[in-house]
Amino acid sequence: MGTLVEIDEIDKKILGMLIADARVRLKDVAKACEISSVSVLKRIKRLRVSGVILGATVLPNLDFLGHRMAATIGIEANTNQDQVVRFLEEHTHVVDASTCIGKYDLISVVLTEDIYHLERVVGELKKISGIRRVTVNVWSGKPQFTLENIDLQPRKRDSDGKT
Amino acid sequence: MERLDLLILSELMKDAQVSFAELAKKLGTSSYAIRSRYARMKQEGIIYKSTVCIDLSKLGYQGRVFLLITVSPQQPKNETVLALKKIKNVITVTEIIGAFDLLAMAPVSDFNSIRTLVDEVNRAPNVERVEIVCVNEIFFPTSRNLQKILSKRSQGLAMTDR
Repeated sequence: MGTLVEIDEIDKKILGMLIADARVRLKDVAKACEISSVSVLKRIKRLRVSGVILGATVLPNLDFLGHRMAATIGIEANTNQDQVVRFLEEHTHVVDASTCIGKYDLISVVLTEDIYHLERVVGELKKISGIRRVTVNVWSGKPQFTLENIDLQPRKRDSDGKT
Repeated sequence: MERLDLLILSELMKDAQVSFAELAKKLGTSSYAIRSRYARMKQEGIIYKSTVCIDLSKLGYQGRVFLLITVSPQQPKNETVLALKKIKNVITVTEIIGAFDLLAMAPVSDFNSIRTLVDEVNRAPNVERVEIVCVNEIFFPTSRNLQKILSKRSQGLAMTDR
């Protein structure tokens, strides 16, 4: 696990604005935080160097990419877990694959073109030895991710709660 | 979608903060074209967000939890979805078809935060059962291969162009 990076209220505000819009103007951030553009830039640089900010991206609506069928696949496998993760990561249509604790041993999110495509992906997956059971849940809603709702200082809230 | 749109999208997915002038040079077009296409893609919902990628483990999160939720039958799901979206730290909520009705995801900082989260989800209207799956890794957004899918698609378009 990475080491914790301390951030203050101003960092929090900057991060919040960048999460809401990565192309936000420096001037606007500076104004909202009541500091100079140079200090904003310095703070963003620090957040990048310390690895809090990994980069910036746009999130596309998957419908437009011709991948209308997203599914979460829960996998039960007591052996060979690393091989399964490797297989999933190599597969173009897998956007997320991790070992986990709980109902499943591995969980994965796949994007496919249609039901037949999904069937093929699941079929291939089932061929890997060590997999006991595969549970597929197809997404019927529009998957949209947002970090705007996130507490950027989870540790701080914990310690506040105790005192 | 046109090929230039896809190329712009692809570049912005790699780096959403690239200057439009630079991008225009790279793609052999004007920065005005990039700007207007970006605005249009945002307006049409092709791009629903431009955001920074964050390593939440640096801020104190230890992992994320998938919540697999069963809603009581005969009850509308949208009320539950709205309530779940309001819960602190929930990154996404989607309706699913299969063994469960709803899927939500949230980063968690420790054992207590998992408990608080599950308690809150259980209190949402019409929730019957919640199962959790914990993943020991957290960065956002969690998409590995979107880029590959995109480049495959723009190659496909390039062929039909001819």
